Amino acid sequence: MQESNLIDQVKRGNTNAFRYIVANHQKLVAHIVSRIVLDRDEIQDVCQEVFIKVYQRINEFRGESRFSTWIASIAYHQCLNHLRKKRRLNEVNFEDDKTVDNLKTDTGPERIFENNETKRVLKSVIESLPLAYRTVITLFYLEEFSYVEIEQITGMPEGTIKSNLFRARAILKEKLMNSSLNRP
Amino acid sequence: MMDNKPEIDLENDRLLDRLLTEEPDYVLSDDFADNLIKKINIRQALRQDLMEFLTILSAILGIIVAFGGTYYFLNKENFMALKPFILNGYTPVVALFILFVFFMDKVLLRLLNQLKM
Repeated sequence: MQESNLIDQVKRGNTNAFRYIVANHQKLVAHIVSRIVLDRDEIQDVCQEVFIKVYQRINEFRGESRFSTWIASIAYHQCLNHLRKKRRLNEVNFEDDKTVDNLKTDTGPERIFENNETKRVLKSVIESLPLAYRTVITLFYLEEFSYVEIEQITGMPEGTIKSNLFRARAILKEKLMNSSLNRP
Repeated sequence: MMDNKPEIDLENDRLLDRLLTEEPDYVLSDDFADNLIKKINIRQALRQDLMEFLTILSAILGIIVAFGGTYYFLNKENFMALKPFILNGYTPVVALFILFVFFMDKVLLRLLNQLKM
């Protein structure tokens, strides 16, 4: 069944049709929520709240954007609300990034460059990036949204999105360069 | 080391591109959609039951007020004589008890049944 048909069915209160919508978009929501909320114990609950909001507000969807863009926007704002509630919005910033330093001392530079270890280190670095950077790299690289769509989702101007992407990438690359130049 | 730098740079770019497009390792549980639909159904049923309860309650209150008002205008003296009966004794307690039983039946028991399913 086409997505527009499913949406119409859900608008008429069909929860079974909504099950298909959940199945089709749960990966997208899980990616966004897990990259923004970070705390694994809370991700599932936030994802549930996202889909409950999607269900409650589906009548507001007019098809002006892609349905996935609309869902991503709800997921993004739900995450911000969740973090605001927990007063954790500014808890992490990349200046006090201890993750990479710790791993360097734990494992040594040559181990860091082994494939799995590098992935683990860089995933930790991504998680230690500021929220705005984490959001744009997830939406752009992982979910392949365009600048315009990211603007619709987050409300950030296109210029800010581009500069956030550039800075996030520069930080990650610098961490990688440091690791590789330290190699014996 | 300087000679290796562009090569390392390129290698890092490739690695970074791969890493940025790699899915996070968090996966939602297999029964996520089922649990979600169950939760939505429970919320919907609760809202519907509450609305039904409030509608019936406001209808009953409306009828009481209409009868009371009519009786008051037709027979003011007798109405004032009813005041102690309404406000004193068991009448408010019985009224609250009936209201509670009605609420249990219409909302709480249905919610508990939904949660058990």
